[in-house]
Amino acid sequence: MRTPKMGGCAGLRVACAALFLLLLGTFFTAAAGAPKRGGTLHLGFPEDFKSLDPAFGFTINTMPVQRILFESLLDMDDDNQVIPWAAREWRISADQKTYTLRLQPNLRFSTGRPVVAADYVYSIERILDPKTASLGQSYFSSIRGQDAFRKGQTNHVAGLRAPAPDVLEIDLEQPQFTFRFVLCMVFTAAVPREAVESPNSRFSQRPVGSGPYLIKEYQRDVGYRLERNPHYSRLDTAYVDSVEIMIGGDRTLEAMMFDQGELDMVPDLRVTDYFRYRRHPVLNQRLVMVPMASTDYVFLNNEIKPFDDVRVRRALNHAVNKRRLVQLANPAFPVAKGILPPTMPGYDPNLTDYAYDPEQAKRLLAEAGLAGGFRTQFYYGDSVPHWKRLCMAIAEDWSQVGVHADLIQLSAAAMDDAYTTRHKIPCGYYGWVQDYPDPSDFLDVLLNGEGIVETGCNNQAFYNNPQVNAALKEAGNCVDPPRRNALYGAIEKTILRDAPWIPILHPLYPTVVQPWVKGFKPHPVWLYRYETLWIER
Amino acid sequence: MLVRLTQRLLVSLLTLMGTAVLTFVLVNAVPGDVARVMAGSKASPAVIQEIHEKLHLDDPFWLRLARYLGQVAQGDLGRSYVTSQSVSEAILSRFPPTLALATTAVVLWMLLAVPVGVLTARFRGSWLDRTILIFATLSLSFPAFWLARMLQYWLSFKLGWFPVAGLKSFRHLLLPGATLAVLYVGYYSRLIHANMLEVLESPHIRAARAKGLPELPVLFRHGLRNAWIPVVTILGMDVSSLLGGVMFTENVFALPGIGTLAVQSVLNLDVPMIMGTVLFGAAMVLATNLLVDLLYQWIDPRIQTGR
Repeated sequence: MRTPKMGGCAGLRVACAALFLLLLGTFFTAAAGAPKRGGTLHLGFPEDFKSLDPAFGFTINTMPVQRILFESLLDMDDDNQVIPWAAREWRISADQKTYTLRLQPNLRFSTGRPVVAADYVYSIERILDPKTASLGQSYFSSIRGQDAFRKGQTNHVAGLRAPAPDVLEIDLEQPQFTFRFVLCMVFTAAVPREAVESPNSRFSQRPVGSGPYLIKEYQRDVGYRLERNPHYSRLDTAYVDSVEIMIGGDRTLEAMMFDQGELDMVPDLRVTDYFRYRRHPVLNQRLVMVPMASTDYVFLNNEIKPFDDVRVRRALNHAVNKRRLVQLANPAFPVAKGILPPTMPGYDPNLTDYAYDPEQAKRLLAEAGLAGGFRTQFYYGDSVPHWKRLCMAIAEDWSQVGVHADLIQLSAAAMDDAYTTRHKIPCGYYGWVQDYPDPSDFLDVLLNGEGIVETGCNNQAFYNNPQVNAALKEAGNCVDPPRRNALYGAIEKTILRDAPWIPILHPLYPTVVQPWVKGFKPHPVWLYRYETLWIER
Repeated sequence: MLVRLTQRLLVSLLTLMGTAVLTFVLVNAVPGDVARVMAGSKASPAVIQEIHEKLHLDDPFWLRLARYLGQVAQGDLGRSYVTSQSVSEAILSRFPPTLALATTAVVLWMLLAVPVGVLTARFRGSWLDRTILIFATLSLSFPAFWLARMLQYWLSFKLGWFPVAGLKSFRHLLLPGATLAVLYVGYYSRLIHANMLEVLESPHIRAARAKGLPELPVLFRHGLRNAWIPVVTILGMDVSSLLGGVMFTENVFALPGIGTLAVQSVLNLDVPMIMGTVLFGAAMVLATNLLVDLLYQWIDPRIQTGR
């Protein structure tokens, strides 16, 4: 087919229209406030980071800071879509087993040394090395040859290759849909071997990366000053000249400092401060509820009587008044009808929840032969302030249907240990935050019966439904996102019918941001992206 | 003197060792897996196991204790499980803020407590005495965390008289110091008051007055000096506990002292750091007690010679 040729006059009209659109676009960009470079961003954290090394420090507070010191291979946009980052291109082979990533030109560490693909091979091998004891290890367990490397049978991971300075190839043992999300995690950031292995580098506290900033000053438990990495070449990110981080105190103190203009942003406000801002006619403009892709739930141990009876588990679901619980935690938090949080692909807002119905709960208990109720122990951790309030309210709700729960508070250390040990805890309160935006991160990780082990078991309910396990396997192998989400949606419904959990609420991070901080937009995975912020006073 | 000092030092070392053993037993009795705390709730069992191996957490208790005591005997307090920082280094870097805070607080409360205690003893039963007694009772009753937060909120946040938090200059120490001073001044003023009452009844005071000495030298030179010994004893104990870390005040005002370090290490179940901060606190108590003993001899030479 011939392409119609454009006449001279028409061409001129198109050129004029294009110029007009360009000017219009420029005008609107300026009106909306184009990013400005300069200034200092002031942040505060109650306690110092355990480590900023990308092999560690996998927490909500640490990740946004690590993301401006390092660059992961890929990133996720606001719609959970994978986008290029340190790698400018990425390709998956037809058999879904080989990832080929081509690096950006001019990538450099803050020391000035160019970043090459071999640095990524080293960095991922370092995470896989048992001596490192990195938290990221399990995310790379599908790479071909990692097992032999971890057992010390080989010096290198066979599935990691750097065929050219700017090309990285990763082979998987079998297709894994979620590996693209793993490549977005800061665990995939390049670290320079010479800095890591230098005896005096103190890499965990003053790491060297290829991100837009470097640590200029650091005093443990006092604060950090981050300044621009002079060798960073990307211009479409990292607008402030420096970031100052104060360590110490608590969120209430930070809120006071925010009001005095000493801090630019305070996340995770205490509920008292949240109400203070919400009720204030001016300050409420600065309040943002940041979704954190998380679900709080009560797990009922399916292996311990009487929770091995589905009627009992359903009864306890019916006995809990979630709306009242949300009022006690923070009225802005959404009630959890299901397992998946609202920002997760596959989230179904139309799920039917167990209605608050104490009479129905009593009927179900009577059917299970427990008309007189029973006594149990109900555990919770001391690490989240509102958990105690909620657990007391849940125990009160249960007592209305004859179930008497003895509340037992555990330290964070004891909680993780006890919750993940088989035959230990009849029921407990917990919250899970996503690692990456895929339903498998909840359904497969937390509720797959095939993953049940004696200790260190994430399936705290010890829920094991062979039908669900098989469906999880099928969904896990599916690489077509819409079909994958539909499969997981069906699995979620089946699990909810079996009621191993009582989903309670989806916590949010109440955050205040100064009016002069521009570009703030909560991210569905990273929550905070300091690299997108600029200061406009 | 030298023999006595040597004996005291030996007893102090034994006390420190006992403290180390007791603390180690207690810390290890706390339920929970330190590897889980370090690795987080999402860590795989393999990572947990690797941390166990790295830190020898699966070794028998007695072996870990023996290893630790051997280390301490060589002056090595070990490394933090959480940050890998040397424990000694962490404590030494946190000591200056704690020392500065303790000094500010002691100076503030003694500046107030001494004249108040002496004057209320001199004017016993007067309206001044009764009013001071009410304030002293209030000062003794305030919970530290509440008072710190209230003073911070009203004086720093609302009125802006002091910095809200942090430690950038001497000004940053004034309000935390004042908080501690408020908590202690009532007790010390009553302590000095009680001792002064006793001393003011003694013959040497009557003799001094009979000689026609002005009242101020009678009170402060002849009276206070004799009332001082019990005060120094208590002050020594309080200073040593302050030097061991002021948990609430340091936390509220975000001061990077020993107190915040101790709190963090407990929350993280960071055994070497907990051991380090406890041993440091114990060492402070022992050192201050020794210093107080020496001070007694300076205040009242009869103590040294047994007269």
